Amino acid sequence: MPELSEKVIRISLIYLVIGFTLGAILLINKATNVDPQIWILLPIHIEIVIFGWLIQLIMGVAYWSFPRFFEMPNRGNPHYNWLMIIILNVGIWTSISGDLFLSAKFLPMVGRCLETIGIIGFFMLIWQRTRSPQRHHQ
Amino acid sequence: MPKLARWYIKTGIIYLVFALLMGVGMEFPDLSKMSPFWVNLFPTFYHALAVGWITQLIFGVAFWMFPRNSKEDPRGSEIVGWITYICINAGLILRIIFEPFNTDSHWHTLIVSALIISAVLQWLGGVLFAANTWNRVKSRKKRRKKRA
Repeated sequence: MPELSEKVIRISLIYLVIGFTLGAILLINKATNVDPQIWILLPIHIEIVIFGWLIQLIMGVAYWSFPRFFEMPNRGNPHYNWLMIIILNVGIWTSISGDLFLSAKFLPMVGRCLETIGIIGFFMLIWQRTRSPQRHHQ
Repeated sequence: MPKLARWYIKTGIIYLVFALLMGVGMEFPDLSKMSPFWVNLFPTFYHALAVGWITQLIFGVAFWMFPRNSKEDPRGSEIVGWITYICINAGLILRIIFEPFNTDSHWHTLIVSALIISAVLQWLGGVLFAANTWNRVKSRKKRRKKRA
């Protein structure tokens, strides 16, 4: 497993724990009606579980296990991939900030744009690595 | 494929079928009147898909295919793996049974208790999976260093 995958999968595991913690708080609040303000955590829970946990885990595993290029760097430029991962994570936290500070209406839009750039940028490389063994040898 | 991975994946497939059938049921015109029961089914439906299907499929495949710790301890603690499986499924089943009735005042105490237990069990399942998987997520460089 390359170093980038190790880091990205571990980050996704941290998001898993944060996402499940928020989910547990929301379910307990739903059952007990402790404070309606807690519902502000719902979009953050969804954001963290989908973008932080699921998509990032898939990115980490894809970078590790998809067919490699013959020429070095055989998994694509690691600096470029790191940049996309950083952009995605900045996007996640910008979106979350937008959910928390409702007055900053531009933040969710900026966050979504950054997430989109990070994910598309990353999967552009995975697209090139998605090929049959025959094409791989050509 | 180890037994625990098979259980995760097959249970995940059962949840997928269950969620799909639930989705069909929720679209029946007579049933989808916005009564509290049916409104409460939406989060149950999404969690059956997201936790029951996708998360368990990931847990199963990760337990099976992630790099092994060592020859002596290839997949982390199998006991922790089974406790994770029980926590996630017991928590999710409690949620599926009791969440749609959350507005029922007659069984209020029972429903609240069940949902709190469900939340704690699912949370525990997530934390245990992350803890048990953490050491298996290691780069080749670190593995070589550990062996040397």
